[in-house]
Amino acid sequence: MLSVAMLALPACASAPRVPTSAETLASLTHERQIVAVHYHALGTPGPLHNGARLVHGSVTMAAPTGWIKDRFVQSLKARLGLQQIRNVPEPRFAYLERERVAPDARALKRTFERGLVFDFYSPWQYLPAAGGSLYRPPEIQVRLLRLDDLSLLWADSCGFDAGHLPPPPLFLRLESVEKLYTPAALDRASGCADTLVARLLGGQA
Amino acid sequence: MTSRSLLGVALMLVLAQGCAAVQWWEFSRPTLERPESTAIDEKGYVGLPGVKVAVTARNDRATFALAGPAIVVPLPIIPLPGSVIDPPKREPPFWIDVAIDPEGEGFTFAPGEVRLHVDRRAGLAPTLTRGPAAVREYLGRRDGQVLCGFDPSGDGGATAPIPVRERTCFSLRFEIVPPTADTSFVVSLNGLAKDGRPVDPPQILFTKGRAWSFQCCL
Repeated sequence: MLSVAMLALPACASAPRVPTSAETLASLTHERQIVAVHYHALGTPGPLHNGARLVHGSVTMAAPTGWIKDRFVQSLKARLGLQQIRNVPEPRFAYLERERVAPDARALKRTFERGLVFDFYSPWQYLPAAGGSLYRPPEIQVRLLRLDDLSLLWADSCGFDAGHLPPPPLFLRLESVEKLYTPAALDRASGCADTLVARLLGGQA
Repeated sequence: MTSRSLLGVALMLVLAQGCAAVQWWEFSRPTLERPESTAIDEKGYVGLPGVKVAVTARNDRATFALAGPAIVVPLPIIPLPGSVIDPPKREPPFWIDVAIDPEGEGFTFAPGEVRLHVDRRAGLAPTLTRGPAAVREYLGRRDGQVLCGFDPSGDGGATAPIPVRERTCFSLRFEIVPPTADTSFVVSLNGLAKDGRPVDPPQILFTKGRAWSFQCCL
């Protein structure tokens, strides 16, 4: 019960929302280094069963951050012609700030030093080993940060209906969180990426 | 309110307040063999050019404790010897955790190249490595010396150099009985490289450290 409460608490604190400005769009087109990163979305590393023994009764999972980021970057490249966006394939660890709302931006500055960064984060939830529905719709939180001064240029979030999720494999290690979602749910997740691009570009779309 | 319900409320209040414990610990404290070259900060990190590293040894144990109820005020009055609450481990393995906090994207780490020297003997190689994992935050005495947290791989045996682009942790297993805190040992942090060039490996010397902790209530 305590674990459920601890997982649910970050969701109670709403992600900040910062609308796009004309300056933000201008800096996107002029910046030479833009990086897109995502955070781990699968919190259960191994299989749920070890032989006859149940190791975990549920999977800790989030929205498919990598999937949504890939779609977002692809769409942004196509619509703004931004070829300088580097899409980092490896997920990062989300070291949350003290207030437990968003990953620590200073860690991004330490890695990439300068330029702009899009980061894609999603709070974890539990999926029972029997499958079923998540407690609430998965939510993806996106920020655009300027690393020089760690200023937040844009922030938004989007949720989607994950629907009924099939039972996760019990004896195999999950390769990625995408394997837990149905194709229809992943389509809705892609729709979330499109929504975020549209909100970022605003009148430019 | 009846006397029975009053008694029930009183009992619930006593039980809800739980217990209190003061514990004394021994552990192996990391220091530097050549302290003139660099320093260890308050979080246990050694500062090297472009990267910080921290090493902990999981051989800490409680040597003595006082426990008792916490009714209005904590009363840890019952002595508990270490041999009862946390007997020394007499079997392998011995785990060491390594946290790496790099600047930039050029660092790699080959955890299998780390060497453990106990009693100035030849270096022992780890038989199993775990990671990359997240570094545990807000580490307290109650958590012991376990530095590594969430491990997305769940696998072991990484031998090739692994890119390290952010604060990352590795656990190394050595097939020896965990040394007591009285035993000095050295960890040679080989395997760290920047842009393909090996970083001069720091030699972390572990010597006896002591600490205490206080836990109270629920």
